[in-house]
Amino acid sequence: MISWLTIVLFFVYCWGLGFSALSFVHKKPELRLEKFFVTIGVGLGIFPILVVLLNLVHIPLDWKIFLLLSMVWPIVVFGRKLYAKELAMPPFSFSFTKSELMLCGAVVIMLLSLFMYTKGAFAYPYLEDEDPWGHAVGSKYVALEKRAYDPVLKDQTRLDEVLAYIDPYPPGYDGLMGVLHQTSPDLNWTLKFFNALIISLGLLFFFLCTKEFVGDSGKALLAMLFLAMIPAYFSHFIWAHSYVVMLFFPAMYALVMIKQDKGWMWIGLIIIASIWVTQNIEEPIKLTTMMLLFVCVGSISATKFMRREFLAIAGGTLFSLLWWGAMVAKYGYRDFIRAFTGSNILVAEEGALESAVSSAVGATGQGSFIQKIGGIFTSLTSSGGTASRAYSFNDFFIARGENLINAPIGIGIVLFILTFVGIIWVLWHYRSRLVESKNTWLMVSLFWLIYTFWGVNGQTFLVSIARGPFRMWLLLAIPVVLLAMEGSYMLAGLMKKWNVPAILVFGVIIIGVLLTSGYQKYQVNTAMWPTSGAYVNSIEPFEYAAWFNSIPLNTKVFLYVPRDKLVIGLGGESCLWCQEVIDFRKDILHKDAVLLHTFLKQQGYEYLILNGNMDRKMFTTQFGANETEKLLPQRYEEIQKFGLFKPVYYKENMFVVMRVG
Amino acid sequence: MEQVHLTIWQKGLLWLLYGLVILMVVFSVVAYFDKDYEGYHKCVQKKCERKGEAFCQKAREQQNCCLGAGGQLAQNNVGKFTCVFS
Repeated sequence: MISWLTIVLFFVYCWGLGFSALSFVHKKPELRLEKFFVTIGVGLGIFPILVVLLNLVHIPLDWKIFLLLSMVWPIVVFGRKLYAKELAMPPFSFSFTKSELMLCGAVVIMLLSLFMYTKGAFAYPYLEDEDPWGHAVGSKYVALEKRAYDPVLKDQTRLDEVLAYIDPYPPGYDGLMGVLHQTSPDLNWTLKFFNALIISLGLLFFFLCTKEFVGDSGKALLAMLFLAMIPAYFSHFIWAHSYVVMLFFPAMYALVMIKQDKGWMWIGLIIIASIWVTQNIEEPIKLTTMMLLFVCVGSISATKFMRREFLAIAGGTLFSLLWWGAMVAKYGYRDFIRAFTGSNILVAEEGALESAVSSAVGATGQGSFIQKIGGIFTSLTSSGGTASRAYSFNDFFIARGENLINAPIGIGIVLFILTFVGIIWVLWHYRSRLVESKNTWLMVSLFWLIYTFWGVNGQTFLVSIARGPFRMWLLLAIPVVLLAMEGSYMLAGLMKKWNVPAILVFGVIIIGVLLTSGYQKYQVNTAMWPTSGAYVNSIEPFEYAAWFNSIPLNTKVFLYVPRDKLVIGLGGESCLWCQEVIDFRKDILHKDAVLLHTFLKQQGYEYLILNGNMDRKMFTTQFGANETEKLLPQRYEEIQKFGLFKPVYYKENMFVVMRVG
Repeated sequence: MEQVHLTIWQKGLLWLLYGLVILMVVFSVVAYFDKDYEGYHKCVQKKCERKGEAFCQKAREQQNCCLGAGGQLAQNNVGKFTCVFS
């Protein structure tokens, strides 16, 4: 269910925070629309670290507080201007400069992209795969509990047993979604829409950043169009990567602007801190590496150390210790490192712990300091990951209509050729002039390309330099589109010699990219995606969603098996982080219908869902096959005969819903 | 073409870029010749050594290795995964 109020509030939070931050810099975009979007980008870049800051000092993560904080300074400025009678409507003109036209084009591409992503996200009623359900739980937790630290639970044996995307996982993404959910009751809609909006806005911020970096709005627009069409750059999958990679562009914008106004250093610092508290180390490390490459290459090209840019990166990283420092203090150094090196066991026997971290040799064990550092480095550059694999030439060259849903791969034929042409052209044409200050963006793009290409090929090449190669595709797309854009301009320049108009060349190129990349990306993003493995068959998720649509949003529903995330992701409510629920679930098969009813009444649950196949599957894992076969039919019979559970909905061979009377 | 005077750092950066470009080409060529059953087998072996037999025999891991080697995952007569190449 769409929440117009929340869409307005989203822009108010972002604009207000961005406006407040931009008040401290003198050099701002001159175009009003550009200034508006830069303000939104900066505001989005402040939000995650603000979540962390408020959480640290135990101020509730309430939407009213965010509204207040975002609007205080704009109201003060407005009041001052009103008092000084300086308020005036800026003159409106129908004439457009090239930059304004390009910006309008960028907004159109952003809206088209938003259309594609939302069309795909709402093509099915459930959440896809597993991660989005986890983010639904995290967002619900923030929305209800108004904090981003895990609840204190007894007998917890594993880190993140209950909330996978909160504590120690940084809360930037779930924090934003949770605050938005406070005014948008439909969590399913909130996650799908705002995730798509963030990705689409990211394209616009890429345009603004590239415009400053390259110094040409036409080139920036073409690169943005390529980025919108390249399959490797984002599907509408709901995860923290959508936010963290988007933040890279406002951060880069700030770094590029420091040269014109040193005040941008502080804005860059804040956004970089936000990057570090939005996703779990992996992507922040890669993005920070890319920013450091920019500083190193830029410093050498300009023959002057980019001190302020470096300070923004270093300061932002240190500022994020507001979160990471608290996590190390909470879990201790060893458990904290374990959480990021493959084993997240919190309380277990020491022997088990040591063997479990074998992937990070010596990182937490008894090895020497060098071994420990080596272990951490090995872990941070591990080429593993669920969907990581070696990639062949065709994986890059041919974009397919069937792809991974979380991190799609592929560039596409025309875009690949343009990139190749771009690389050859840049290396051959510029040669030693590549290291001139005015060509910094080309040199940086080449270094980004090498870094991300190497990262993607972590399982193919002899050495891996970045963790999770399949997630590197997202970042590979950035230098690819920049170099493809340069290749396109070179071709346009070449064809001009034969009197072929540039517009025709660009037209042919764009159609070619659309047919060999854009169309395939559209196919993947508007297809029906699979969902959680908790469901027993492919029809179940639709039937569950249909029933959840028939009850009021945020009704408390109890699944007999511990898969509360399905309830939350479909718009219901269940307190899976509550100690009472955790305790009750531990021994649920041994609790008779009377105890079950008493518990559900006490906890305020209105419905109970029983699903023979799902229950049997999950309980067999938890209690063993024999006990499940013995107790489950017994419990079903009790529940059926017990007068206070009234069946209200039944789907043959799937599930039955009982009202808790 | 105008002569550009480069500092030692700029020269170093340029040579580093050329070196890395060559390295990427060499790595890619080496990887290209890994695209056969041998490549698939090596990939599975590596996973087994790193994370154990149970992990490397998972369908997902086998599929990743097989796709990476340019083949299609299939099951042989005894139900074990294998990688076939056209």
